[in-house]
Amino acid sequence: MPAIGFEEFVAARSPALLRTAWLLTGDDGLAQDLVQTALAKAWPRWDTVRHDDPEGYVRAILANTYATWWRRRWRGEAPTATPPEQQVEPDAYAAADLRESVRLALAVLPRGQRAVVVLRHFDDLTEAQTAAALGISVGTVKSQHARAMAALRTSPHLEGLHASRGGSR
Amino acid sequence: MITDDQVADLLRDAGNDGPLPRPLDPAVAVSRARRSRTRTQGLVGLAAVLGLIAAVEAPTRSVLDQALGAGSSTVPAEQHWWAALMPVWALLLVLVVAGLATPVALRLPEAERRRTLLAATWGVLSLVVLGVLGSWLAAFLVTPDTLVDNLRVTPRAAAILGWSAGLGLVSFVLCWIALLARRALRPAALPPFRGALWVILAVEAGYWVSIVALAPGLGSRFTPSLAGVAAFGVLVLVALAVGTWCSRGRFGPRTLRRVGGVTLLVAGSACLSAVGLEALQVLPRALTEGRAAGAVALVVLVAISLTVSLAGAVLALPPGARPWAGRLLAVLATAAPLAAGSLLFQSLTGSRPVGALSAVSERMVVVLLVAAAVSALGALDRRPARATGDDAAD
Repeated sequence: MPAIGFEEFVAARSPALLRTAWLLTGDDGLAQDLVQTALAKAWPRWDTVRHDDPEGYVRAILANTYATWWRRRWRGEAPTATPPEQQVEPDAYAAADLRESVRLALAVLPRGQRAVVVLRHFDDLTEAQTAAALGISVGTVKSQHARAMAALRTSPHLEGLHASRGGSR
Repeated sequence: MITDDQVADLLRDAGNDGPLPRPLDPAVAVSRARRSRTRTQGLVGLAAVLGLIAAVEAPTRSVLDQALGAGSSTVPAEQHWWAALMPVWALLLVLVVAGLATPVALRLPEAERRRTLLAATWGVLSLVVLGVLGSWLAAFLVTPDTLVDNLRVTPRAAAILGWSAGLGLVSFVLCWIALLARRALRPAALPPFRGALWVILAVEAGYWVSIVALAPGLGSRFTPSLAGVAAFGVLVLVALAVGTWCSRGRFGPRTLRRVGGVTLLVAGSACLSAVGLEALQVLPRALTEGRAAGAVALVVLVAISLTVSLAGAVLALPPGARPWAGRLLAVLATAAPLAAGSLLFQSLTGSRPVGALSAVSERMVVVLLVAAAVSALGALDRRPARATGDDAAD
């Protein structure tokens, strides 16, 4: 892989990173903050990582920062068993409905489980890659993944969404 | 119930839905990384200074102990003299280094972080030099009539007063120089001469109160006489007048509120620094010896001093985005350097810290207090600019 400059990388890959960050945080502002934080952590070591896999490196920082972040502004987001109900959008707003339902379904997951699910299914990382990115064992990835999927499979938000989309997917 | 694959599909669709977000600005991440690196370097530097102090502390302390008459000394007299004045050399060295850095910093933009940091350092130094002798000088004002009586009968009293006045003048001049440098780096800061006068008067008023408040523990000779109370009243009134003079003579409720607030903040912080240090050194002993009443009295004094300082900060500072954080920073930026100065004075007189401070070197505490104060004042200076006319309280 050819070496890539930091500015060039941010211009090319930050939109994709923002999408991952949105799935992790469920909020556009927090997603931007998370990506900027991950980039700021990557910048001092850019000369080293630019020759290898800079995106993988930044993505690992992103997920790890999200999973372990304890700062005040992040503590406001606590997983709850029953997230506040939102008004169901009409069919005309199906796209927004999809994002909102997924956001609500993910909101009930603890931070670690959420990071595992997003890395495995959105970023298509393997169990070993996910474990390396989050700094946990493969066994932990498996157990977190199993628990997260069990919660998501029974999530009323996703079941309703699946039904409204015709149950075809 | 839906399947794992269906969950994964929904997740992928939701994440990829809509137009691609706009790319982020890399400058933000770079700036954040640089700030973080600067912070790390600062902490590493602070740790290095503390380590250095710890490394040289033991030999210096033994020399100092012998210099101060611990008995059979085998160290040459010149070494005693140098060792005993070590805190003064350290303070002068910091002043010289800051003085050399100032012309360089003046070439930087006004809002540049390093320039702000140096301006904050000068602001803190202006208070440290006042903290060294502040309490000593205020003690003369508690019972000035007794002092006058002593002057008539004891030639030694005249010598002590002369030396004290001379050293007080040196403190004032150093404070003036520090404020001069701060004003050069930060034009919105206090005018140097009037500012130094204002601050020294407020500091002395605060120390006067602390001496009187601590009088039951220090002995009856610090119970204020009528002349002492009059001296305190004059101190406060002149401080308020000089503060108004600092505001270029503008009168009005807003100016008076700010002048009163800054005077209260500085005086309260001086009192807080004296009472706080006393509490740190005396409380553990008072608690172990079962003197609960004294301990409670000290805690109450600390609480009152803190409340007065905060009240001064409330009056002095316009409400910002996080007003209480700003007010606490103001109290920290004022009280910490004064406490550092007092500890330097203790170090100079060879009195070891006791109580909660006995486990650490007073020089380490001084460095930590100064670092905390510079950080606090730097953070205050970097707050958004105030409205016109609010600039004289810096």
